[in-house]
Amino acid sequence: MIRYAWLIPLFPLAGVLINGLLGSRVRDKAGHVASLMAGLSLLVVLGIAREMILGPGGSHVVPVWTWITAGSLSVSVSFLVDPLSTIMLLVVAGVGFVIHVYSIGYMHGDPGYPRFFTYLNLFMLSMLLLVMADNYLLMFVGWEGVGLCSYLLIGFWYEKQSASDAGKKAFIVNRIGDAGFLLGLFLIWTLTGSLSYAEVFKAAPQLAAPAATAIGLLLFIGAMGKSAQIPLYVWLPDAMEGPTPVSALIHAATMVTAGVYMVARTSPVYVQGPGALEVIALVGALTAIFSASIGLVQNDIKRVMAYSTVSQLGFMFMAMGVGAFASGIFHLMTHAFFKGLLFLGAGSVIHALHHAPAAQQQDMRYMGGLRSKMPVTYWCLVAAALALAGVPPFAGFWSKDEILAGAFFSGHYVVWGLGTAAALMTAFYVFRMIFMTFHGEMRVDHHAREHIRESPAVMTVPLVILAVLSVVGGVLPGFPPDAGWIHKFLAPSLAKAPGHAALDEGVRVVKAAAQAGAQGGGHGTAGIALIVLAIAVALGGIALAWRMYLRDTAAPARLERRFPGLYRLLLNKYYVDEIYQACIVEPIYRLMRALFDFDQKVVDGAVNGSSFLTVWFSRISGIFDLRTVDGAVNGTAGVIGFFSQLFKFIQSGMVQNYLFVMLLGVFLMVSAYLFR
Amino acid sequence: MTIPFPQIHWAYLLPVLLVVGGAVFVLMWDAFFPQRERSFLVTLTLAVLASALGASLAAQPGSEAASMGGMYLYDGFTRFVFALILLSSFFSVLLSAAQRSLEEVPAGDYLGLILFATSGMMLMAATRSLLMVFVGLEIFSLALYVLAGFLRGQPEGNEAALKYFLLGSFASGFLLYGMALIFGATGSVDLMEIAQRLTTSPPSRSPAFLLGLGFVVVGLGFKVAAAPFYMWTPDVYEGSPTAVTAFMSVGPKVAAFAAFFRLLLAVGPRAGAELDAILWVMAVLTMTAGNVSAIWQSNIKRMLAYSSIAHAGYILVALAAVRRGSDLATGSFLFYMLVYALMNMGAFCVVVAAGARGEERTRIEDYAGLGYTRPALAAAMALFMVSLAGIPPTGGFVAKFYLFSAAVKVGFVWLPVIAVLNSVVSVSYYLRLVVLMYMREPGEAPARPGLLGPGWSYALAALVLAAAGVLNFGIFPSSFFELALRSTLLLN
Amino acid sequence: MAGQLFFYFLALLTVAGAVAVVALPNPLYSVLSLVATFLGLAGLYLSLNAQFVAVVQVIVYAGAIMMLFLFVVMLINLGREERQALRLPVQKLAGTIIGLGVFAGLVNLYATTPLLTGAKGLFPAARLAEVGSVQAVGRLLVTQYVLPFQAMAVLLFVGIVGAVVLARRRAR
Repeated sequence: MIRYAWLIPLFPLAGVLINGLLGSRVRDKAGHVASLMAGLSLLVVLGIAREMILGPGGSHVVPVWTWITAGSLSVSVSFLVDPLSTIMLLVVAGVGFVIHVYSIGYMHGDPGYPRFFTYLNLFMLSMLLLVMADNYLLMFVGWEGVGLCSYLLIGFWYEKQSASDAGKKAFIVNRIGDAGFLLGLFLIWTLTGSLSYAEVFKAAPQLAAPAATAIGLLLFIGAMGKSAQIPLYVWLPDAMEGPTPVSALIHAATMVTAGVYMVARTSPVYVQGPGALEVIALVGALTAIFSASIGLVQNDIKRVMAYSTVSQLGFMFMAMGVGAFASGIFHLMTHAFFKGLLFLGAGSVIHALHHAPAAQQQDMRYMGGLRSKMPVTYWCLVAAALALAGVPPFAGFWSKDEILAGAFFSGHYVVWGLGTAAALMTAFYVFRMIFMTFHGEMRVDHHAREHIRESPAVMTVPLVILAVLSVVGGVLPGFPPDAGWIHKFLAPSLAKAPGHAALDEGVRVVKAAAQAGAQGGGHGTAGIALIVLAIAVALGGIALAWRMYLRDTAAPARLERRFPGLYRLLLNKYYVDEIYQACIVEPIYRLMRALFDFDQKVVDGAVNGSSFLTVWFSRISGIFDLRTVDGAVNGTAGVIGFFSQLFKFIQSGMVQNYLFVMLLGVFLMVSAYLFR
Repeated sequence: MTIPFPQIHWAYLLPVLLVVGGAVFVLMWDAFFPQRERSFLVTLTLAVLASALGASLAAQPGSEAASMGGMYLYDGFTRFVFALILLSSFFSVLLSAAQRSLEEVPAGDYLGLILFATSGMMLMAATRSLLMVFVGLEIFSLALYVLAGFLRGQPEGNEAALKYFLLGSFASGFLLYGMALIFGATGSVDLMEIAQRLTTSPPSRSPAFLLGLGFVVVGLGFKVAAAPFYMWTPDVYEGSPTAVTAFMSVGPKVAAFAAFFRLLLAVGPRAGAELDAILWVMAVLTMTAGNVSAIWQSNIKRMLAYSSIAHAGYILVALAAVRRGSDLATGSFLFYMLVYALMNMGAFCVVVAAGARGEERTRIEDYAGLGYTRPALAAAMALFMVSLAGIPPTGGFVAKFYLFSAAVKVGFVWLPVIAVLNSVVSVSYYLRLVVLMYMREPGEAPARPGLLGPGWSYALAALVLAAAGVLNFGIFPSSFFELALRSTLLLN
Repeated sequence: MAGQLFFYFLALLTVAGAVAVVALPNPLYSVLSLVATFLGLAGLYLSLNAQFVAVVQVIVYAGAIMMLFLFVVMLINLGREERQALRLPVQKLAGTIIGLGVFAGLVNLYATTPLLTGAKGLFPAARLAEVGSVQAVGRLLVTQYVLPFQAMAVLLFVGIVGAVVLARRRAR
C-alpha cells in the first residue's frame, strides 16, 4: 500500500481539474466530486496508516520523478511515509474529508459553489504535498500552495470589503514568514549541501551550534507566519472572514499547524541549536497567554475561536521549544479534532441564524438559549469545549497536560507558569462561549427566531464524527499519561538522528515522571501534582465562567466598570493592529504611494506641426525644455517627502533626467575604478 | 595579387542568412505585390523563423566553431541563444498578428523590421568580436527605434521612439568608447585575444582596460535595462505597440545578456574585484528598483516593464557568478531566459488578446473580473503571473532556484538573500492582478469584444505554447536544464 | 615637433567645433561647426597614416551628409532657436559637477596610463606604406572583416527602411 502513496495527492488534483475546468458543467455536483476525491485520498491514507501502525513502521521513500538537478544538488518529487507523516496524513485527510462533506451542506446555494470546492481540493493537494514531501523544496511547494489557497479562501466572499482586506493581510504577513523560510532553506542548502530530509539530518550533527540556531530561527520565522505566532499572528483572527468550513479546515485544523509540523520535522537540526528552541518555547508561551487573554472578552463567536487557535498553536510551539516534540504533535492531532469541531459547531450556529441581521449572526451577545433548538450541535460543542478546556478524559487533557509537564520537567518554569495561566483562561473563555450561546435567555432577533433549527444531517454527521474523536482521540493514543502509544510510534521520526539529546531528555523525563508517579517517587509526586493542578485549573475556569455568565450575569459588567482600561485593552486586542498600522503599514504605504506618484510621467500637450521635421524638432525641444515636474507633493513629511522628491525628480519622463541618472551611474563606476 | 577568400561554414551561418534573406524577401514581396490580406506575409515570416530555428538546431557545433577570424562563432551557447531569439521573434510575430491596432500598418515593413532586428540580435550573440557585438546591437536597435513608433497618430508611440533613440544613442556612445578603450589597452577586439593579453599583462596595471570594460558594461547595461540605466524602459514599453513591447522585453535582453556573458566569461576572472562590486551593486539596484516601482503601477505594460527590469536584476546575479567562473551560472542564465521568454511573452499575449479594436486594455483596472468574462484568458494570465512571481510548480520558480543556487555555489551570500527577498516582494504585484481578475466584479467592462478578432488563432497558438512551456519547465525541468548546461561546454 | 603641433591644432579644431555645435544658437552655424569637426577628424586620420579613412570622412561626412543637413535646415527655414528658460537648475548644476567628475577621471586616466600606440596591430605604419592604405582596407573588408562588412550593409538597409517607414507614415 505504501508504494501507492503517490495516489494520495493525485485524487485532489483530479478534483481540482474536474471542478476547475468543468465548473460550469458540474455545478451542484462539485461538492460531491470534491468530497469523493477527498474520501478516496482518505482511503489510501487509512490503508497506509494500517500498514504503518500494525506493521514494522519505518521510513519509506516513494520516488515519483527527479524534479530539479543542478550540479551536485538533486531534488526529486518523492514522498516520505514515516510515523510523523502518517499522523499528519491521518489528520489532514481525515479532518479534510469530514469538512468537505460538511461544506456540501454549509455552502449549498452559494454562487461560487464549484469555485469553493476547487480551492478546497487545491488546498488538500498542497497540504498533502507539504506533509508528504521528502525534501524541503517540495515542502516549500506545498507551503506556498496552502498559503495561496488560504489567501483565496479568506477572500472567497470578495464582495465583502473586510474579507478581501483580510485576505490581503494574511497574504502580506505570510510573505514575511515565507521570506524567512526561504532564507532558511538557502542556509540549509549552503551548510549541508542538500535539501532532502535524509541527507540534511545525516549532516545535522556536524552543524555548529550557531549555524543550527540560525537555520532554526529562520525556519521559525516561516512557522511564525504560517502558524500565527507573535508577532505575526495578526492575520489569523481576520482570516475568520472566510467561510466557516475554511476556518475549521485551514485556519484551525491543518494549515496553521504546518509550522509545528515543520519544526518537528526539522527536530534533528533544532536539537543542534538549542538557542532556537529556547526562543520557540518563549514565543509559544507568550503567544498562548497573550491571545488567550484577548479571547476572554471577544464577542464574535468565530473570533473567540480564532484567538483560541492562536493560543493553542502557542501551546504546540511550547512543546517544540522544550523538546517534547511528540507531545506537540499529539496536541496538534487532538486540537485538529476538537478545534475543527468547535468551528463546525459555530458554523452550524451561524447557519441557523442566517436570517438574523448580518452584524448579529456571529455576535454571542445576540444568541443565548439555543440549547433546546439545536441539541446535536450543543452536545457536540460541549464535548469539544471540555476537550479544549482540558477536562479528563477528553482529548485535549492528555496532550495539554503532557506539554505542561514537559515544560515543567525540562526546567522551563516560566514557560510552564505562562502555559498554566493560559490554560485557566482557555477553560474560562470556551465555556463563556458555550454559556453565552446556548444557555440563558434567548437574545436572538425576533424575526430570526422561528428560522432556528438544527442543521441538516450532512452537517451534523461530521459534527458527531469529530465529537467522538474529541472524546476518544486523546485516550486511545495517549494512555497511560505521558507514555502513550503515540510516543512510541513517533519516536523513530523524531529521535532518530544521533545527538538527539534534548528530545530524548524531554520524553524520558516525562515518561519517568509517569512511571515514578506510579511508584510514588520524587518526580512522580510532582507529576501527580501537575495532573491534579491541570484538572483543577480546567474546572476552575469552567466554574468561573459559570458564575459570571449564568449565575451572576451582572458580574461581567461590574468587572468591566471596575477595570475599564484593562477591558478596553483586551477588547481591542492590545491595539496591536493599530500599532502595526501606525508603525509599519502607514509608512510603507506612504512610501509606495510616493513612488507611484513620481512615476506618473508628464505627458505634454498635443504636438502640432505641418511637416515631418518640424514635428520632430518640436518634439525634441519639447522633451528637452518644456517638460515640467508635475504638481507638488503635498502632505508627505520627513524622509518620505525627501524620497518622493528624489524619485519624482528622476522618473519624471524627462530625457535630461534619465541621461543625468545614467551619467551618475557612469561617474560612480569610474570612481569605483579610479579612486579605489 | 590573390585574395584568399575566408573559409565560411555555411551550415553555421545558415540561420542568420535565412533570417536576413527572409527579411528582404518579405519587404520586397509587400512592395511588389501589396495586398490586403496580411496572413500570407505573417505565415511567411513564421516559416522563415521556424526554418531558421530548424537550421540552428540541425547545425551541431563542432571543432570549426569559430569562423572568419572569430567574427562569427557557432558554439553550443550560440545555438541555445539562437533558439531563444528565434522563439521570442516567433512569439512577437504571433502577437503582432493578433493585435488589432496593428491591423492597419503596412505588414511588409513591420515584419521585415522584426526579422532584421532578429538578425541583429543573432549576430550580436554569435561572435567573439566586440566589433560584431556593436554592429549587431546597432542593427536591432535601429529596427526597434522604428518599431517603437510604428503606430501612427499615437503621441505616446512617438515619444517612446524618440526617447529610446536618444537614450540609446547615448548608451551606444558609451559602448563604442568602451570598446575603443579596450582596443587601445589590449590591441584587439577579439575576446579570446583580449583574454590572452590579459594573462600576459594583468589588467590591474591598465586602467584604460578597466574603464573600457566599465563603459561596455554601461552600454550593455542600457540594453538589458539594468539600474541605473533602466529609466527609459517604462516609458518606452508603455508607448510602443504591445507586440513590439513584448519583443523588446525578451529579444534584445537575450542578445545583450549573451554578449555580456561572453565578455565576462572571457575577461571576467581577470578583470579585478571592482567589477564584482559593480555587478553586485547593479544587480541589487536593478531588482529592487524594478520590484518596488512595479508595486503601484496602474498600467499593465508599465508594470510588466518594471517586472522585466526586476528579472534583469536576477540575471545580473548570475552574471556576477559567471565572473567568478561558474558554468552553472551560464546554464541557469540560459534556462532562466527560456522560461522568462515564455512567461513574459505569454503575459503580453494576454494583454494583446484582452484588447479590442481601437482600445487596448492597458490599465490594470481593466482586468477586474476577467476571470468571469474570459475565464481561459484569465487562467492563462494567472499562470504567467504565478510563474513570473516564482511560485512553484511553474517554470519561474525552478528557473529562479537554479539562478540563485548558482550564486550561492560561488560563495555569494547576501546577493541571493536580497534576490530572494526581492522575489518575495514581487509576488504582491503579480498576485494583485490575479486577485483583480478573480475577486472583483467586472467593472463597466468594454462590451465583450466579439471574441478576439481575426487574429485570434495566432493569439491562441502563442498562449498555448507559452502556457505549456511554463508548466513543463516547472514540473519536468531537468532535461532542458541539462541541455542548457551542456550548451556552456563549448565556450572558448 | 611639427607633427605634434599639427596634432594639437587638429585636436583643438575638432573639440572647438564640437563645442560650437551645441553652443551656437543658429542651426546653420551648428551644422557648419560640425563640418569643422569632421575636417579636424579627417586630419587626425591622416596623421595616423589612414589616408583612405580620411578621404572617406571628408567625402561622406563633410561632403554628402552635412550638405544634406544644410539643405534641410535652409529648406524649412529654421531661424534662431527659441531659447526657453531652462527650468532645471538642479540638473544643470549637478550635471556640470558630475560631468566634470567624469572628465577629471578620464584626464587622470590618460595622464597615468601608457596606452598601446602604433606598431601593435596587424598593419603597422611601415606595412601600411608598403601595401597602400586603400588596398589594405579593401583586402581586409573581403577577408577578415567580411562579416562586419556585410552586417554593416544590413545596418544601412535597416536605416533606409526605417527612414522610409517614418517618412511614408507622415505622408499618408
